[in-house]
Amino acid sequence: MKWKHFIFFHKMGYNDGMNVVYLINSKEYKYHLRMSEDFATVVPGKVVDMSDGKPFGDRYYEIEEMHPDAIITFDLAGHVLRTGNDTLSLNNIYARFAHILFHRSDRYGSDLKFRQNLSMFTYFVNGEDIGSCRERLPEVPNIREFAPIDYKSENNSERERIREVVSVWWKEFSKEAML
Amino acid sequence: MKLLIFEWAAGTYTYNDIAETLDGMGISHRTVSYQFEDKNEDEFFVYRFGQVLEDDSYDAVFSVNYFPLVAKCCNERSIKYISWSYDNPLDVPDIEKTLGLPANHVFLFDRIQTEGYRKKGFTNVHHMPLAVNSSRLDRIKATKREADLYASDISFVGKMYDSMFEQYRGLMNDFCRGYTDALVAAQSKVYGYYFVDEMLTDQFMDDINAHFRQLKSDTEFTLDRSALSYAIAAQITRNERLIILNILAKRMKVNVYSWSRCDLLQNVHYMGSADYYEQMPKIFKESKINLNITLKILQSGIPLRVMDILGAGGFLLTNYQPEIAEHFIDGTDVVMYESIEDAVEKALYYINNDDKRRMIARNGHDKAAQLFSYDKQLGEILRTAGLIS
Repeated sequence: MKWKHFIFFHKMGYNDGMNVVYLINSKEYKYHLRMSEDFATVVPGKVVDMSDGKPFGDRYYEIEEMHPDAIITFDLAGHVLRTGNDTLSLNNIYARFAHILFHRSDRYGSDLKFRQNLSMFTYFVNGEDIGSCRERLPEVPNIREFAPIDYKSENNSERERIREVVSVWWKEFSKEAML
Repeated sequence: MKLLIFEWAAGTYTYNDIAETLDGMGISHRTVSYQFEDKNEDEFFVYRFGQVLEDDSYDAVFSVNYFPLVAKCCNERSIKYISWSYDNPLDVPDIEKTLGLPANHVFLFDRIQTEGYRKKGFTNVHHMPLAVNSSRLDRIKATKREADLYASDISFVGKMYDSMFEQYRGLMNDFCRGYTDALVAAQSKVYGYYFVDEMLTDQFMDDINAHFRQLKSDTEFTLDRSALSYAIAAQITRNERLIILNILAKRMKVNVYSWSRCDLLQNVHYMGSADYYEQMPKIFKESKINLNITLKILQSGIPLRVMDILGAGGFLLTNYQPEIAEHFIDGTDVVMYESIEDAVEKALYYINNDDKRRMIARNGHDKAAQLFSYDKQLGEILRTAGLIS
């Protein structure tokens, strides 16, 4: 670890050795790789790209065997894993989940109609009306706001700001999810 | 009336039928789910589920199978908790610590199991047979391609059970091993009464555990009666399934649907797993004979698989179970066997008697639909819990 990174982690508050897994879909959302870098700088974890062609059945067991404490998904990347009864496979993993949604709810179609278990927290980044979401999405139990960020920006100062936002968010999430 | 349904995150077979029936009864409901690591202790769940209960006003919480932490959360808020189980045994460690909570209304489908709890003073435990949604099942039709795929003489949907029996047996002394072997042999021949628990006396369990400690003085492992009983039941069931299926597969086409392939099955067609809602009813409709071989520890009740087969209009060949015999006429509504030889003989007879088979399947379907509809069973549950009059 580089010294400046150590200072950064110390300042931002990293994940205290927690086992964190990120689920992204870099094929559909190009910014996922960059965002996972920014998130993982603050909250280190293994990044799993759901769009890398690995069969979904194998992927599920791979994630399960990592025994994650927390799973952070971008744009519901893990919702593609379904059980034989067409429910979310991720529901069956004992972990805390943070689903970070960078778009408005209508972008995700039926993915937000699936029942999420009580350990899942869904965060909207870009100004979605949270009150209306709670009414429209009865199967999504814990809907929250995420501070606005310019997730498409490659500007260094914005990326630095994003990491600060992530740091604050992670502290709040860890507390609420009792991690 | 408004119910909060708690569902185990892995999903429960009967959930959709229950939700559909509640809709039909005009009862509003919301569902939340969760995956437990420890069913008896989970601070996060207790807090979050408590919040869900306080965010709205519910007349009761309902779950398929019993969850002690749901019971505790409900009891703390004086909200009724209704659970209706299709699992047996219930697989809840230390269940008796919470079972008697005043908020609880627990419904079990096995009468002997229910009576066992009631004798211990758990008067809030009630007997309620499982149900069948025959109108949903009647709407399901196989396409020509599906009919060809699922057509068989015999179908069996279920697992072969990996029992811990051999591991436990291997650690016993000669006397305990011989006693246990005799127990397995005797129980294998008896249908309709499970006596293993009675034969596993405290003294016998002490002897087994004393021998474990002789083998390894610092072991912390203690084998309890329920674990050994379950292992014996699973071993007997496994043997029965393997023997019957292997014998029948030598003479006719046998399809087995299971999560995993069992190498000890020979000549059977391993068909992979079957989806409960879509594939399974079609399998039962398109098979000449559907086998039900109940887990031996289930003492009297009608297992869900029997309801599934009858509801789909399939012909059922099943082991004898007291509660099946109470409600269905052997040879008219269903066909029951009382030994492995009997099962094979009856399969061979009915495979060649199409008209009788079809008539029995039709009778079984109609009787199951009449006696065990979700409307009827759920109505009775809600009445018993004091939610409707």
